[in-house]
This record gives sequence, C-alpha cells and structure tokens, in this order.
Amino acid sequence: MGSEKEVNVIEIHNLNKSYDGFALQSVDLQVTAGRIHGFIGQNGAGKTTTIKAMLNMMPLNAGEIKIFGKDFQKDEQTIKEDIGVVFDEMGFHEFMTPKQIATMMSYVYANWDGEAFQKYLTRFGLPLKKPCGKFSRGMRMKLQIAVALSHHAKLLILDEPTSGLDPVVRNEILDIFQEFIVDEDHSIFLSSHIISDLERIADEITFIDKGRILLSGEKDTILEEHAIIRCGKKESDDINDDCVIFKRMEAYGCEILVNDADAARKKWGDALVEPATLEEIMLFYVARENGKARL
Amino acid sequence: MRGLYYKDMCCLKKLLHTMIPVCIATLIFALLVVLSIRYGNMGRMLSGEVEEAINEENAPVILFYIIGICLLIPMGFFVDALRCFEMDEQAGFEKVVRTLSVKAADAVTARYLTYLTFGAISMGSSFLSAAIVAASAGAVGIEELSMKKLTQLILVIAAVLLLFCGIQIPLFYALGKKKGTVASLILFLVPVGLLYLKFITLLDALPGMELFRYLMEKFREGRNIVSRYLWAEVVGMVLFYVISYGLSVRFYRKGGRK
Repeated sequence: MGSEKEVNVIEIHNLNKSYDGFALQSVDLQVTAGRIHGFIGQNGAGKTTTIKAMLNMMPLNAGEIKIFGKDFQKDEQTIKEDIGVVFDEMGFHEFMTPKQIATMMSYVYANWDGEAFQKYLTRFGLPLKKPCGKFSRGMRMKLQIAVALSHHAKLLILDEPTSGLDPVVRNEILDIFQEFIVDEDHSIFLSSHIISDLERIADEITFIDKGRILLSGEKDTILEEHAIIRCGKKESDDINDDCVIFKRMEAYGCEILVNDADAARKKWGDALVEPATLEEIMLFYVARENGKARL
Repeated sequence: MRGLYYKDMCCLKKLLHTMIPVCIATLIFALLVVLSIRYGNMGRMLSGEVEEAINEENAPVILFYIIGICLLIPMGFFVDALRCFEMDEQAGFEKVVRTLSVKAADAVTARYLTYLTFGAISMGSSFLSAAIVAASAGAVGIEELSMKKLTQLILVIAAVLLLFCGIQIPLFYALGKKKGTVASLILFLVPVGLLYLKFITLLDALPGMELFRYLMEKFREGRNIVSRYLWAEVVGMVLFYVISYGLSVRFYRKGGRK
C-alpha cells in the first residue's frame, strides 16, 4: 500500500514581524490537510500575531505564507473564500441579528449557504431575529462558528475559540470541530492556551513562546518522545544527556523533561521515567527559555 | 462591497432612531421661533388674527434660523456617518472584515457610498426642513429665502461637508479612529476658527443691520464666484475624491487602522 503524499494547507517560512516590545522571529510552520493543528502558547506568546499574519491582516517584515499552496499577496480573495475565521471576541455589531448577518455574508461569500446557516442556528439553539448583543458568550461563539461553517470553508482558523466558556459549551464546540474534520478536505488551525482542549482534539501541535516556535509536530509523536524523570536532587546530577530539555528543582526532588523517552527508559528504568502531558511539556520548554533569558 | 454597504445601512437604520427625533425637534423649534417672530407673538399666531409681513428687521433672525437648520441637520447626519467607523471599531468588526472575502477597494468603496447615502439623506431632510421653515415665514420678503437660494445654500454646505469627509476618511484609515478624528478636527477647526475671529472683528465694527447687509453681500459675492466656476469646482471635487479614495485604499491595504 503506497503512502499518500501529505499536503500542507498552511505553509509559513521565516516569518518575521516586529512591533513595540514584541517580535515574531523566523517562524516556520506547516499545517497538514485533513488535520487539526493546535497552536499553543501563553498569553502574549505571538499566537494572534501569527494568525493575523496568516490572514494578511498586517504587513510583514519578512517571510512567505502560502495557504492552499497559494500566495496570499496574489490570491487573497480566492483563499479567503475557503477560510472561516473565529476570534475570541464576536466582532459583529451587537444590534445586528443573525438574519442580518446572514444577509451581509450572502453578499460577501460566493458560496454562502443560507440553508446550512439556518440548520446551524437551529442546531445551536440560536434565535434568528434576536440582536446578537443579547447573546451569552457561548452563543456568540456558536454564531461565529455557524457563520464560518456556512460558506463551505475548507480551513477553519480559530483564535482562542473556547476561552472563557464553561466546560459544557467548550465540549460542544470541540465536538463541532471534530465533526468538521471528518471530511478529509477540511482542516483546522486552532490557537489556544487551554491545553486540555488541544490534547483532546489536535492531531498536530506547535508551541510558541515569545514569538519563537519551540516545538512543532504530530501530537502523538510529541507525547511519545517526551517523558519526565522524577528523581532526587543527587540523582539528577547524573542525568545530563543531550535529550534533557530542562531540570526543575522542587522541594521534594527534581523533575527532568527529556525528548527521547525510549533512551531515557533504557538508561534510567520505567520506575523513574513517566509520560509527560502537553501542559508539562509546554511548561518545561517555557521554563528552559526563561532560564536562557536569565542567563 | 454590497455586504459591507448593507451592514452600514443597518448601522444607519439604528442611528436614525435617534437622528429622526432630533431633526423633528430642531424643525419644530425653528418653526415656533420663526412663526412667533412673523406673527409678533404666539398668542396672535395661534388665533391667526394678525398676519405681519416679513420685514427688514425680522428677516435676519428668520434667515439665521433657516441657515442654522441647513447646517445642523447635515452636520448631525455626517457625525452619524462617522459613527459608523466608531461602531465598527467598538464591535471589533474591522478585524472581521479583514478575514472576509472582500477586496480593499470594495471595503473602501462601501464606506464612501455610506457617506454619500448619509449625505444625500441629510441634504434632502435639511432642504425639506428649511423649505418648511421658509414657507412658514412667508419667505417672499427677502431674496435669500427663495427656494432657489435655499437649494444653493444646501449645495454649498454639502460641498463643504463632502470636502471634510474626503479628508477625514483617508485619515481614519491611516491613523485610526481616535488620531484620525483629532487630525481632521484640527483641519476643520482652523478655517472655522479664522472665520469666527473675522466675524468677531466685524461684529465690533458694524452695527446690527449693517453687519447683516455686509454678510449678505459677501454671501452674494461668494455665490457669484461659485456659479462662475461651477464646472471647474465639480471637476475639482471629483478629482479630490479620486485622490481621497486612492489614498484610503492604499492606507487600508497597509492595514494602517489600529
């Protein structure tokens, strides 16, 4: 059985953008078609700036961005026809009703599907004629998602779509994303600082911190490769392999993140080496960067 | 473009909820003042017993109210048109618009069309209101209250406001709403301030009716110049708008709005 060549829906090379007190530094990023790509980072790490750059919402200092293999500078309109974007804040005027928003979007998108929008509204329990300013945060998010899905977008770009939502609504929204991705032509780029969400649904993960990509790849591979060694302070002095990402001294001992779990298990045994969660991996990488910064 | 224009019209509909009562209140106030001047007092007016003709003494006051109404209503509408920018900014719609399948030229065109729509509505309502007030004043007494002159007056005001908006829109795209407002206000207030200073000086130098006659004379002179070079002015305005539009598209593409 021959393996199919994977296609990248988003390709970013050497993206640089700087402004007051912040800089995206040589960001390289690939998002594979048919996958959910999680983009993790602390607040202010550069997630939204990267998304804005992707959407051609700001001038770049350097770099190349391709979406669906097309150059944003040349094919912006064609690309945007196939993209649905959801921000953490709604962005529609509060006096506008979903009906008015649908009318507006029907003029904007050639592929706007009014019936699909109506179905999503019914499914999400959103009233057609109520001003969206009267919606709860969860309802506003669902409205944005309904709009993003109703022009048959192939790629959803979501910037913190689940932040500030209660667990029930968050779960509901994550289910919608998983349904969307069932179609192999569909892809999702999802930025969040809620790692548990990404742990649940993402296929690929990219960590960003202070404008730099720290780690990027398949989620399962990242989780398989990384492990935490928990040991005493004295034992930790002997663990100085290349695979060590960062050592964190605690009151009761030491925690060490390694990026070659198999090698670590062979050397130090299963008892000491435990699987790492995405959250732990991110915290250790960030701590390493902070340590470097302090040096 | 059509989608964004539709959204702006939804904004207009929302803004009209406050603008229409304000226009009506302004009109009623002006009508009451003008009628009471014409009839001597409100009691006479209501009884309809005595009808005093408009005369040289009360004409300036009546004219003042008519010019006032011609200025206030369009200014109110143009402020509302500017509020569309503000409403977009408050809602975060500017961010949304840049994710949509909308060309920069289309986004800017929609905004200019919105201004022109607001302008047309404001000029129409202002003309109607001024005509009602002028007619109630028995507007045959002085030349400046004829329909033809009122139309000219409205057109001059429209041209000034169009000039102002033609400057303000690219400034908004270049500097953002707050800085753009400050910059355009400076541009607007400098000539208005100079005119005001000139007026104050004249007020000291010329007593009541003389000042009025002087201003009317200036108004006639101005109107003559405007009529003499009308085509050049129309062409100039079109060119001015082409440049303003081009700059707006350029600033929009650069993502200058903060």
